[in-house]
Amino acid sequence: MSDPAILFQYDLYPERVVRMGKVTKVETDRGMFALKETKLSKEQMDRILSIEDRLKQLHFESFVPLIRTKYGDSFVFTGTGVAYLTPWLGGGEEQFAQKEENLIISLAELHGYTARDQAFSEEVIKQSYQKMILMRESRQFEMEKYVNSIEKRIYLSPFELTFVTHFHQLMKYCDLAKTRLDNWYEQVVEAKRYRSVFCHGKCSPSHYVMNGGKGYFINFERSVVDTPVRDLAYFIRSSVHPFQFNPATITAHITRYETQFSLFEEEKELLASYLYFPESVFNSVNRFNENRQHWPHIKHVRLFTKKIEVMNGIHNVLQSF
Amino acid sequence: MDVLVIIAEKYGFKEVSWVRKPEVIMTHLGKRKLSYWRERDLLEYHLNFRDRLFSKYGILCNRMIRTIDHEAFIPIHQGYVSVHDSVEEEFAFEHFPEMEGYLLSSLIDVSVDVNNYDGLATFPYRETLEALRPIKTLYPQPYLLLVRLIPEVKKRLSYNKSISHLSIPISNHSIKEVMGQFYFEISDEEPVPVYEVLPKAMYVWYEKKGQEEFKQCFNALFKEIDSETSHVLIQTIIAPWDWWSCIQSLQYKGVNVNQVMEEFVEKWETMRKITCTVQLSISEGRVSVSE
Repeated sequence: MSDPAILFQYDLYPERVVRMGKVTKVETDRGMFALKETKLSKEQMDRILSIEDRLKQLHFESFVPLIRTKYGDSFVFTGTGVAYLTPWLGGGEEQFAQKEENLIISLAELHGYTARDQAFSEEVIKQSYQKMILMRESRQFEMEKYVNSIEKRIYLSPFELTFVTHFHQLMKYCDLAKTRLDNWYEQVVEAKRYRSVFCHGKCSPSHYVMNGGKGYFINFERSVVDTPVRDLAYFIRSSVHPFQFNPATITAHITRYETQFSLFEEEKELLASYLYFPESVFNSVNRFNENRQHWPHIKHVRLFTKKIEVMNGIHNVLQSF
Repeated sequence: MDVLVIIAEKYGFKEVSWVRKPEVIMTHLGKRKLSYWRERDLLEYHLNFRDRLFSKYGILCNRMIRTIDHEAFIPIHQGYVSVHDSVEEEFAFEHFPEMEGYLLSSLIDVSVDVNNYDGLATFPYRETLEALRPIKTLYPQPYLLLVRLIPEVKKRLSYNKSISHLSIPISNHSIKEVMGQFYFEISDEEPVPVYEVLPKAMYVWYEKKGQEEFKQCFNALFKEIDSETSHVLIQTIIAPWDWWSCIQSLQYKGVNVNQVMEEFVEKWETMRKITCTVQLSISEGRVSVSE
């Protein structure tokens, strides 16, 4: 279904339409709107709607509500997926630092509003623990295979040489991630408690918009009920800019988060485990090998080196955590 | 209270005035059509059907626009009123002749959901034979012809055991276009049985559209449906409704026999040609017309 046919269902006749990534900004005489077309199924959209209802019931206001069509639908089938409309809320880049501060507070509020103690089951915890171990081991194994394959060569490229040089250090971070995960497991089993919250699922500054000094979450497409650490770790990773990294920001984010929603000791161990695991560095290897962006070789090397520096900075933060 | 005032208040429309009383109004969002309903059951049937037609097949149609409180209609006097889009542009069928086939198959499928009933029945063969008896004395010549056709009637009933007894809202409809999209404007009437709609559609497609477009429509009708349903629909199409209808028309004295028989023969012959055209699909049990 074309954009005009979708907008017809909202009685919107655009004066100007601007594509901005996955979202279309629609300017009309009735205001500005964001139209998002997704591949989500009806069931997934229904889940998002029930979450929206729940957030409304809880009087949590830091999210952008979906606008209904004139026929009362919250989303429109497009043939290949669904489209939905929200009011357009936009903030300038100059508010970036403020945005991150607001975001972490809103995230803590969201988690606080929706926190629920789960019935403790050692079996469930054990399964989660083992699943995570397995996933990480398989990722490590991929990297080991990669390092073995390049070490056989006589001449290594600058990227490969940098990777081999830092490989031992990366494995050390993997071990630390495992140790902190073990700590989490032991402490949860000992405390016999486990809580879940409503997680945004893709909690990054690009999914949070500022308007009139207030911040709002957008895009709940990947939302899930899980440990608060899932969102927090995702946010911390996504807010790290390798070329402007300041370890103090991580400490500030965690402190600000905890003013609204305190983490349990075992949750702190889990957060440390997430942050220690060098997933982002491993992703750089995949990015180098695939090179979809057609970057020059040196750019991959620089990014990789910066990410190692970030990992070292995170390590310093986590030592006292 | 005046209808316009109530509508403006319930729907949040501004600057409301009549364009064509009592059907079309102008609002700050454009023209709107009003539908008046006496029977709530029929209103709810249409509400349900139109919403499902859109949600399942993405077919735009004259769904009920919701009030500020998300109501699909409002009580007024001794009945109800619902508000709809007013679409004027006609659909360019010449570019998409198959659209009618696709529309019919979508309506039939939605009808199964709305009625929560697969609508299977058998052709009233024995009852029609019973009804044939009095014609022997009333109209002996037509009677002989109708009896002579029984073997062919039986052949036309031998494809599948069941026919469709579903009903779909397709009387007095119109097909329009909005924003380049097909828009099905359903009338507010009672739904019509599929066994009436399908054979009639076949006659019209065959007589008016020509062989090529007929094939496109026929293929589109069966494209999206499962083989079991397609067998039922084929049987519904080729069942001897022309023979049945002729017998029903000759039940009483004083009928214009010549006119009835002329119409019957014409329909019978057309159906024969249609059956020939779709023969390959019928004999091989596959659903597509012979090329």
